[in-house]
Amino acid sequence: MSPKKIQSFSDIITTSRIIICCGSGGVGKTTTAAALAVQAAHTGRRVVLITIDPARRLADALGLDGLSNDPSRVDLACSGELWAMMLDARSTFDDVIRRESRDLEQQQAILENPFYSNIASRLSGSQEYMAAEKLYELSNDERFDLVVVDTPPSREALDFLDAPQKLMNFLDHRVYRWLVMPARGGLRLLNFAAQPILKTIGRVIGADVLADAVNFFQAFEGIEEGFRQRSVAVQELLKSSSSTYIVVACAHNDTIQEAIYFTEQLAEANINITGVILNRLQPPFGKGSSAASLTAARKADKTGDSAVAVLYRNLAHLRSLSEAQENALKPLLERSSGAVVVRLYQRAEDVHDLEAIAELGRDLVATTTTR
Amino acid sequence: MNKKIDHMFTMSRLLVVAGKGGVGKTTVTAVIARASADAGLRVLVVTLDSRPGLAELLGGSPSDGADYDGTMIQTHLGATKTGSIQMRTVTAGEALQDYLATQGLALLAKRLVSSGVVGVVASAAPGIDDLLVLGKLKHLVGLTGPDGDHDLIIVDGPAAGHAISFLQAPAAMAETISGGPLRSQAIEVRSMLQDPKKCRVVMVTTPETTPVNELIETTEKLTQSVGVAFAPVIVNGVDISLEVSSLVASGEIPDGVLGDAMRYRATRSALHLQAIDRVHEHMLVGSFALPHIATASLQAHDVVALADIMRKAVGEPA
Repeated sequence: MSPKKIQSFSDIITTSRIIICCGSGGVGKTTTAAALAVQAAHTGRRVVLITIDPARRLADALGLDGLSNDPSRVDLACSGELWAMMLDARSTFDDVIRRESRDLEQQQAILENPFYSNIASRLSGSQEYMAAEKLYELSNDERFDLVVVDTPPSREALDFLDAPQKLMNFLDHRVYRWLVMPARGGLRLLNFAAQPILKTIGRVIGADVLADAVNFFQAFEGIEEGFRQRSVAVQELLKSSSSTYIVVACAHNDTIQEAIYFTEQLAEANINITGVILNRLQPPFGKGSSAASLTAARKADKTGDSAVAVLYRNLAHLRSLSEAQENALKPLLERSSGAVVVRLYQRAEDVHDLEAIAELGRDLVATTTTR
Repeated sequence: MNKKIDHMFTMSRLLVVAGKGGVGKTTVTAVIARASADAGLRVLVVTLDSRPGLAELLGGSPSDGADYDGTMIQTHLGATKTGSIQMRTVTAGEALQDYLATQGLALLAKRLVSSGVVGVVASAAPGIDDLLVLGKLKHLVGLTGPDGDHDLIIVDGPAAGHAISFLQAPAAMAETISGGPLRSQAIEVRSMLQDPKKCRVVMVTTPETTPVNELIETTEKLTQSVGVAFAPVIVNGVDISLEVSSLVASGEIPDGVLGDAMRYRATRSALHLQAIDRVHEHMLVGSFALPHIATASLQAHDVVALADIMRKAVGEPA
């Protein structure tokens, strides 16, 4: 556990080694992860940001226009350094295969297999695993002292956490063991064709597709041990006190429910949420209530001052939305006691350039409240 | 503001609702379902991952429609009392069993599922799971029409970027598989996706710059790689206050929170108008703006209200 108690997002970005941002799709996870990274770089840290799927303008702002799987330096005037990379699950997976293969022959047999191509780019969990793999790699890279990672959008927080294990289970599945088995003894084609289930699968999906799968698992034999050791190390890192988890949520009932679900899942894995970012909230515009504004609007209606009535009705409208959001957020706030909570308000303009992201970063450290 | 959305409910038998996370895809699915049922149509709503919330938005209980066989949620809707909403969840595993059964392999299907071989099949060929789901949808589309079970099928499509690979799957499979029943299935599904009378995609966006950019990109990709047609785009959560905007334009804005709130709303309104204009420019098929509801948890009665607005813009089916 960290020696000093975390009391603000300022503490989070100055003391963490790894920050993992979780949340469902569309809550602004990528942007808030970028804002944390920018702000940390301004405090003098050497930060690397791993993004998954940034919107084009954010990618442009971070200088990620050429899809690169290696960190590149972001042009940002700060006391530290900001590096960013966009995760390319396929080439990260290719690198893992190159590293773990015993020789060039095995490496090629795997990389050129169409079934491998499917696993590396499409199999559910591959992207999560490769994000974790990159995280592990960069956390051991001496160029950086903070890694900020934006996790792939997922309903299951544990997808990211469990991805290494899940992929191992997949590659270890008894069905595959059994697919590979007929190869022993040199009677592969004969045995292969004799299996009724395989015959049926072949009939349904096409014999060549199935043959690719069998070839892949044969080529993969012997690599599993290296894979397993690495996945254990990655998993230990994800569950260690070096990893700080942040949940990002918007004030809509469905994303709040998902954030609660994330929090519970992480708690089951003995991981505490360190910070909660409530993003794009309706600004409340002062301390008054929507009811008071509405009363003022009605009064103006009576005296015939229509412009004043419009002013108050507008304030009442915005405040009532803000009140509804605060109400909806209560269950999430109750469940994340102990975490640092920060409210980021919806801006009048969209956030998509480095300047606006930096501003968001300043808000993150300026407006923290602890519950 | 809302152009060319006549016949939205009858222009096609299958509407696939697509859009990036957080734009309100599930809400829009519920609104279209409710509006078309209120217009007298028998509607089938299909989810692919039994996400919670959709059944409740349609006025059902949370567990409704979570299984493959489906649940009837609403009946006797609309002026003619013929409208209904049924909901079901179609998963790849069940679609595979179903498919094998139609191939005369029902017994084997059970064994395949229990032994975990289904997982192998689903991962062995790129997109086979998506193809199986789309194949089931094609089958259901075949059962629509005056003598069939439903008039319209609405799919709450897969989230975020997965919509593209989902709809591309049949074309990709038709190329990678050299023969067999699945190849014919892929070819048939591909031609259904390319037939605007049978299938259209409803793109959903919020009225903001980045989501609209992504909408335009996704639409181009889908046109090129799938050849699918589009229904009018739904711009969700539009909040345009004309009275606030004109008051701000007149320049007489006080200081303090009242003025701040006015300027904020006017800027948001202008941004939303701009976004809708950009959608119009790029989407020849037209678009429809669903107003923002000032609540943090949308309820079934909100869906009914939104559906009313949509139904009036679409008109009664012929």
